Amino acid sequence: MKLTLGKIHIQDIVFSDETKLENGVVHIDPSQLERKVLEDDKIATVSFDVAKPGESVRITPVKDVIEPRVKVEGPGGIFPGMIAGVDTVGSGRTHALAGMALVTAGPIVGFQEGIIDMSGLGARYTPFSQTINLVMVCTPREGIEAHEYERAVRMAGFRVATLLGELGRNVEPDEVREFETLDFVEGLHQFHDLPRVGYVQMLQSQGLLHDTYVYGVDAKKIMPTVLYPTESMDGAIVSGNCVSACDKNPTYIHLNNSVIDDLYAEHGRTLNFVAHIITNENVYLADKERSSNQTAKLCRMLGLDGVVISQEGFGNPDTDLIMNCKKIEAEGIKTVIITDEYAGRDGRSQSLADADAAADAVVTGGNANQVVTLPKMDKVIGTLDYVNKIAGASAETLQEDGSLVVELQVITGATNEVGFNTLSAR
Amino acid sequence: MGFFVLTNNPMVHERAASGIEVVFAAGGIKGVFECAARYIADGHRLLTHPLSGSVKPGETPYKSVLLAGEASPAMDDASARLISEAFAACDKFAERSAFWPAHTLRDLQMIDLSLIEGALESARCDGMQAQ
Amino acid sequence: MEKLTVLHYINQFFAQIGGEDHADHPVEFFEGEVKGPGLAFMQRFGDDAEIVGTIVCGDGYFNEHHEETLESILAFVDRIHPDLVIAGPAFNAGRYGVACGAVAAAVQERLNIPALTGMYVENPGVDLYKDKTYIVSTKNSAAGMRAAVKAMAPLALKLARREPIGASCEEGYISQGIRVNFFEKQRGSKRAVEMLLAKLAGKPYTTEYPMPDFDRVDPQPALTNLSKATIALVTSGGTVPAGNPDFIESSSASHFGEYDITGVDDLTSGAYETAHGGYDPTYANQDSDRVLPVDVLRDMEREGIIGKLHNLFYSTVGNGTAVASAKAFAAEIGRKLVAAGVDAVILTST
Repeated sequence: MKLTLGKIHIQDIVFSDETKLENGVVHIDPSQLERKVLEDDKIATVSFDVAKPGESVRITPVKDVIEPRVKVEGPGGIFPGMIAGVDTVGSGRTHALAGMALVTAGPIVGFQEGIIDMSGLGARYTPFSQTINLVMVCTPREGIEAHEYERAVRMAGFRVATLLGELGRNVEPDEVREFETLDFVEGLHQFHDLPRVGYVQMLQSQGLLHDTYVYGVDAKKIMPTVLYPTESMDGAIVSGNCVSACDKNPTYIHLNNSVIDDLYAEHGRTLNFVAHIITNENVYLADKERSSNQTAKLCRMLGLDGVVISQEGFGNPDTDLIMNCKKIEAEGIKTVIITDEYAGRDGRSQSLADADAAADAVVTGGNANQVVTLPKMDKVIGTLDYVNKIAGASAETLQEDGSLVVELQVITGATNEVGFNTLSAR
Repeated sequence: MGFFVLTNNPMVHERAASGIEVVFAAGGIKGVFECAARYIADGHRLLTHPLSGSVKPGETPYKSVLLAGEASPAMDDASARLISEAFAACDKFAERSAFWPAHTLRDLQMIDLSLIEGALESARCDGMQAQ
Repeated sequence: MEKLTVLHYINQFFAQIGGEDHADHPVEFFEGEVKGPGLAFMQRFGDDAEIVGTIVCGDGYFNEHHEETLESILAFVDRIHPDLVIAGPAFNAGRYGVACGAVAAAVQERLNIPALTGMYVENPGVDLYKDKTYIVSTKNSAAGMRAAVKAMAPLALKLARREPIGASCEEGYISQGIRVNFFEKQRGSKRAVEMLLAKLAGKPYTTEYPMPDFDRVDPQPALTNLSKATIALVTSGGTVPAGNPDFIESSSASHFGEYDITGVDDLTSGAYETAHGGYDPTYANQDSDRVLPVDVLRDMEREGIIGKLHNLFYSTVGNGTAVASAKAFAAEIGRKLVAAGVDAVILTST
């Protein structure tokens, strides 16, 4: 399968009376986008705002971050099974509005976390301080159930992202890359002298605010399976997950998975990037056993020599991670795992909830319990009501001078476990 | 082989389908873990991971755990290890749920309920009968 | 810019007083003098720092007089008040490593003067002090002196200047078991791919998070008939016959003892004592049964609760004893117990 991905570098986002993309500037007619969002009557109101890198702006609480994309050529459309139909994606040509992101914000439930600071110390810890963010803050209709509202906001985000992505359909991209994965037999012959490498991606799948969807299917329900690595570039995997902010994968990360990017960079040169294997992280223990058994089996069937395994979230996924690692290593396949840590504020606690000597090659996204002081920002998009109460915060969170003393946990994407960032720990 | 839900979440009591046995544990998350530890010592196997969800212990005071209804003669080592590591994880997080207003506590109850419902669904598919 | 001042702690060997035979050399202070490896440090420091005095102490002496020696060292350091104290490097010498760690940790904690030491990663001093002071990793013998000084000197200057110290891999000290965040040059996914390529090629790589080593041992099945079983006592609490006839060290034990308790009902204060230097021996010396419960097991023998108390007990000192040594003792003791038909062991520790 081969995908041509064209990136259109977005320079600015402005409000206007017409939604269009011109010379790298996205013009937004907020009333048009508003109508798109309010198609679903479960959402009472929505407001739009723009936050740019370097501004003294804080966005909170953050639900999802999405990069607008459009399928220009080839089967299917972006966000298959959610917005587009269920055709298999990942081939043909796709354009992305790069350098910008759509951020859905506003609480789904009363304790949400997720901070994006566009400047100051906090900006160092989130990748989304580097994107020009179009923020949509939603409020729920009175009396709506949390499950329904979560779905409404999630889908509204994808609808708006699709609308924006469409703006890039006929624009000449600034940067074009080709990603090709040969089928197994052809790849085996062509790259017979290269190690066969796979990417095992664990998807959060535990319930409300903890879900991921693959072609629209709740990841809780899937058996581990194989994708072409380009499928997620077209939104085959999307997030319904927003807890915990630091180590859950927003949809943006699924679209721009850095493990896939870095494996493709070596593909055909030092390794044969054979497949993208996805599995889940259910709470039920027998499900963990089943999924890790099946994942290890797939790795063996594909004749892999090595895999990179990434996880998502805190606590019980550590058990899945170790199960996957042990069982894959037991097949004689070498593993490297990517995780983050909860080593306590003093860094002395045991970082993971599970451990095994087989996990001898670990990359870490850092200790999420590290305390940082975020300076006061001039403007808040969303609401600070929850900040004092969110993960890593305490009674002393909001200081007199308006600064926030919080753990990295609360910062969106801070300790990302697909290795998106450079933060690490020793 | 049946199962039961051990929980301190009143919403689980309210909304669990009829036929599902729910045992109430007092106290916060540690209270639930202590109760679970006693059941495990008596030979009841854990069916779910005690650290369900990513809302941290301390942020939420609610926890539900699925245990096997029947006690085996020997204690399950894996269950013992999971519960003791769950205790250790609790100590890394500050207790914060005292700050939450009532509607937020209800939201946290709902998240916990959603997590255990997913597990109940898996248990049913697993051929488990409600206790 | 004034030169930074440094005090250097070394043992009797590196001060060229003597070897093991002079391990009981009492602590001595050489104000204004540079000795042994201090010269190598001075060369590395150049104009930035100078050693203004050397503290010398026999490893055995430090061990036997831990408290008083530390007090007098601290008094000396306090009087001179240098910018930094360097201890060692101790390489693989266990008692020396423990002494170096103790001195560095005490200076830091009690005088708030930065301190640094260096030793081989398996030195018992590492486990005891790695999170209380900075320990630079060295080779396992003095043949690694040049490399050790080269690694220690830059960190020494940073500490002396009270500059912020980064993560262990950045600065070259042994990980303190305290996780410290920092920003790498490359993103995590790239580091993961490179690590995998190295692992696939059989090339060396360094994990960013060493898994805790639980060293889990599966328990043996329970005894079926306690009343017929032979139970042996083994301890790392240091219980030995009075006078410590086998000279088991009070820390960093190099061997274990085997003692016959045929006909002994009770460990009395005149006949038994503890060799362990890591706890207050008063209560153990009053009644060694508190560490090695011979009296209780004899009662159980008489009452038929157990079959028999094994006539030999095994004892060593756990204080600062290297894990590798402990494993070796256990293997040998285990062999003897199995050969003697012992069914179960009660292992006491302190």
